[in-house]
Amino acid sequence: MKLSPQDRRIMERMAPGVLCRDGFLGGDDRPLGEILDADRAAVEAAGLTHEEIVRRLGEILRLAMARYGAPVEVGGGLTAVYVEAMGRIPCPWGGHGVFAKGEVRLADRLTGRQIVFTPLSVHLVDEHGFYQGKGSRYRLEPRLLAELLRRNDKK
Amino acid sequence: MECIRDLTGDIKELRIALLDPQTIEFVPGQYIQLEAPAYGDNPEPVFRAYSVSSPPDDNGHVELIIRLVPGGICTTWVFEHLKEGDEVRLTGPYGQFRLSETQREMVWIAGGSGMAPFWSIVRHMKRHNIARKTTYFFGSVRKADLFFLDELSALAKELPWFEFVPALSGNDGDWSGERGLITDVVARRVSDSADVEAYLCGSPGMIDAAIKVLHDKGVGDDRIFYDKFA
Repeated sequence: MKLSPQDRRIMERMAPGVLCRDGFLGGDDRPLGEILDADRAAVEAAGLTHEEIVRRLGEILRLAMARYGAPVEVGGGLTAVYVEAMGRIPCPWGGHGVFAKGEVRLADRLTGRQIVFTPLSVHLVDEHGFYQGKGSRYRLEPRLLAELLRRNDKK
Repeated sequence: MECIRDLTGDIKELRIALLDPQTIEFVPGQYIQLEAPAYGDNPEPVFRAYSVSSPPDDNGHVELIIRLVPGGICTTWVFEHLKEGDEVRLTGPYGQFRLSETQREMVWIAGGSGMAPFWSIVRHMKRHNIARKTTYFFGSVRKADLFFLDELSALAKELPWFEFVPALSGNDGDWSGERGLITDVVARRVSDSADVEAYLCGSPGMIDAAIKVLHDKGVGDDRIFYDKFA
């Protein structure tokens, strides 16, 4: 699939070493449009919407940030820890301001399964439906997200 | 790079001997920009800001306190590639974060690498007999994340105007000091209508929460100074 000039520019900004050490694509060599389409379908298949995911992750982010690094129970046997970091990072699409670095580690105490996301991650889902490339540290795998957020339902 | 030492599992102290020029003039509280050269998958050098943690009288050196940022370009270089003896580039000093010239009592609040400017300031104050009453609140989750405990406790014993209050928000059993979020500790320990100036260094979330506590204590914005991690 031929990349549009816009997608090419965005993917160049997503490459390792441009905005952050590892970039946003992991080992994923699919074109951006394909990644977005596949994740949109996966989110739907998991019975979720981008909006619901943004709302829930945003809530977890707020709870975790308020604890400055101490773990917080967020319901359903899930704990979240916000690991702060200096600096800010822009969105690879550009034009959306900058976002605090630092990450939330959301873990299921029972299974040990974990996702790691950042304030920028929430924005990327919200504005762009982008869950990052497979293999990326901040990849939000829709099926795993659904599993964790369903446990989070059980408050 | 004269010396690199681990302060905690994810915080290092760098001591840089200046080559050209051989000295630096700065006000304690200011920062420099450290250059991480191109390396690995990173094709371009980048600059990142770090508060100077050494006192200005040690003007042939710059010390920095750097916390690893997961996936960070500069901190990955510091933690995985930088070696003692390497030459590094830095620019500065920059910034407006510094003590006021009043004699008003001070409250300092920091966490993690937010220690850096205060480590410079307190050693400068000691050297120059700036005996302003100061309470330094330093928060962490675990005891393993604290550093300079012995040094700051020793200063608190030696300097009648300086009190050091470390606090843990986690569940370490072996801890007899203050417990809770650092902002909760400040709320407990600082009296209402306190006639103080507050100096804050840390994450935006911690600083915003600390400002709210200080406002509740009657400390106005004209007496709150901060250096947000940004």
